[in-house]
Amino acid sequence: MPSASETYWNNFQVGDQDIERVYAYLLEKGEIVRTADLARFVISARSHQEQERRARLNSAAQLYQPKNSYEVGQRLVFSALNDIEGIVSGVRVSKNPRLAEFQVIAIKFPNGMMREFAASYDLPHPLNEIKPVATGAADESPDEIYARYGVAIERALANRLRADKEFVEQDGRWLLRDAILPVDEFGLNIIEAAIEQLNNSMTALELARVLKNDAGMDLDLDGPKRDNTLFSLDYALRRDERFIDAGPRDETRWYLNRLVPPEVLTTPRVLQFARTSSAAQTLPPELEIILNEIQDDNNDESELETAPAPVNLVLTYPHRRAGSLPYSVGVRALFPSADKPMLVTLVDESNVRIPVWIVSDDNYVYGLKSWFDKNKLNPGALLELAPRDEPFTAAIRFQPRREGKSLWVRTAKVENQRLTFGTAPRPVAFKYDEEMLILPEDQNGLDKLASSNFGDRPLELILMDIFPELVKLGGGASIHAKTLYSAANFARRVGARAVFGALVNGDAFAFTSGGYFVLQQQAAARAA
Amino acid sequence: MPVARLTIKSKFKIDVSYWENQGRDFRAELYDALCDECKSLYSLQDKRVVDHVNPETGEIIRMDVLLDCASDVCSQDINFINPHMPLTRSIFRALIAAGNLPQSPEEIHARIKKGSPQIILKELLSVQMERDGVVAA
Repeated sequence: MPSASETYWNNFQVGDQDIERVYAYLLEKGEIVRTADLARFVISARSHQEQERRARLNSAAQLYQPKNSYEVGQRLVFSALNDIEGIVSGVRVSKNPRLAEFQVIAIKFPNGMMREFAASYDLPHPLNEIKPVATGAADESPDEIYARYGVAIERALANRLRADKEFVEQDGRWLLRDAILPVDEFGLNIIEAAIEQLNNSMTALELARVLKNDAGMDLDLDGPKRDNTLFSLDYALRRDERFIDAGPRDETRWYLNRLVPPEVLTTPRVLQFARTSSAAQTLPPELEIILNEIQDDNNDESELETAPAPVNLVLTYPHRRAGSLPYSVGVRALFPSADKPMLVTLVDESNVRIPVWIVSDDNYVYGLKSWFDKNKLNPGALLELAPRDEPFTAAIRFQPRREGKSLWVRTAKVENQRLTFGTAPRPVAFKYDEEMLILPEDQNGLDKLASSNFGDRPLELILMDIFPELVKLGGGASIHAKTLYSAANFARRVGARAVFGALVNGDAFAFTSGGYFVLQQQAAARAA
Repeated sequence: MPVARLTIKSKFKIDVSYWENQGRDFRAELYDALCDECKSLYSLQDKRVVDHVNPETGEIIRMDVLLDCASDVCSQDINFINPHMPLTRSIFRALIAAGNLPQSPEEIHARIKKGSPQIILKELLSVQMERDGVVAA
């Protein structure tokens, strides 16, 4: 059987009195209050009220119920009037020809007011049904109550406050609407110009400093109204469609909507993942080791807590084409957690700052096309991202290679609307992964292929298409898993674990050793 | 909470003095609306003021005998407020059924079960209701 405290707090509903208390609390504080603190305040107020009520009930005062009769001098507690206490100062007979006679008692309240109430009143009345028992509102300390029921109380309180126009919420913090400082059009224009000039996201504090120092606005940034100022600025920017929050999960950083590349708001076709089995595939240990080496580009949304450390990446075709990088587990560790597009900066070895967007929904980091072009990088290129002291930045580097004599490399092209591969001598200006280096040969054809439904087929069929093409290039019947991963990505963006899983589980392929696969005779014949 | 604008929680009542100022007889209107039982108990000429028991607090309110009867007796009659009545009449009768104690659009809606609190608020602010002396309490 639940305790009285459990019954009371599990059935907690926000009442008008709670809202009035919260309003008065915010008005008195004049500053921002977190939902958690409002919930604690409501719990304390209710608990305190119950304690006072119990004290009154334990005193000589009696709970007023219309059915009882009372005498002059008796002290009564009126539950329907917030448990106010009064003294019976007179008794008379009722006057109502329609009803049987009852008592009318005159009550004197502490504020001196006199009011009359029914007594010896036998007709049905809700107050006749209540029992003078204490509720469980104060059976535990407010801290214990918050620890046990705080989440549900916060949720109920926030929902109720959101429906009331007097309260303004941002990021789980509340302020009365009247306490919001207005930000005029002039101020918003200054902010827009400041963000554009910096070409980076800015916090409300940074923007407030611009308004104060550059535009001479009278803003309290060091005194007691600092938080209100910043809250108001955030509030104004959130309501102006020129601005967008480009900050991490728990921090608002403002940027300009019109400067956000469309590829951040809508995932380009080439970066859309192929539909693959989401079930975790158990792979042979050799393949697991390879997976760890290449930082899988997958759509796994697990948030592994790893410390920031240098990350080695191998560029794949979809990212080369789009100008992006995979937002792999190692890359995630370099930046604060993102729950929406987040603007960060990569800094290369020449100290060139590259603004890039983290698009966590589809696991990519966008904005590197010009940098790839400038450095002549291609699929298979080895890249390194590393932590930097400056927040929201990471270092990016590749290892240049003297182009000199051209290398014979694998190339990808399209023939008869099918992906095929060849070899050709090409200059290579970067250090690369031997198995994954594949240069796009026919960009128009590859773009058309990417926009067709070629890559929508099951992954195993795509691999069966690709495998013989790679075998034809010479070098034996065995193809390395990484080569198949890199090649499959010309058809559709797909993670290495999914590719390796399809190879291991597919009847058409046989795993040999050293990370190599062969096409089964029967399957090869079928494919031919 | 100090809310200046009228909301679905704002209270409304019939301003009887408005009727008097307009030269209209509120009691006659009230008597016409009474259920048969109340009409059998009282005549229009009965102008006694009686002890009415507040249904929530038990407080005694000195009330016109016709209004007291409407509040305690007619309000229990399913025909006193019925779904076929125009909304304005339903609202007017809901105020009478509450003994003309101030009522919010939410409370009126709970009693007449018609429209919505928002629609009732809009109706309460209409010219028709103003003519019936309905005002914010």
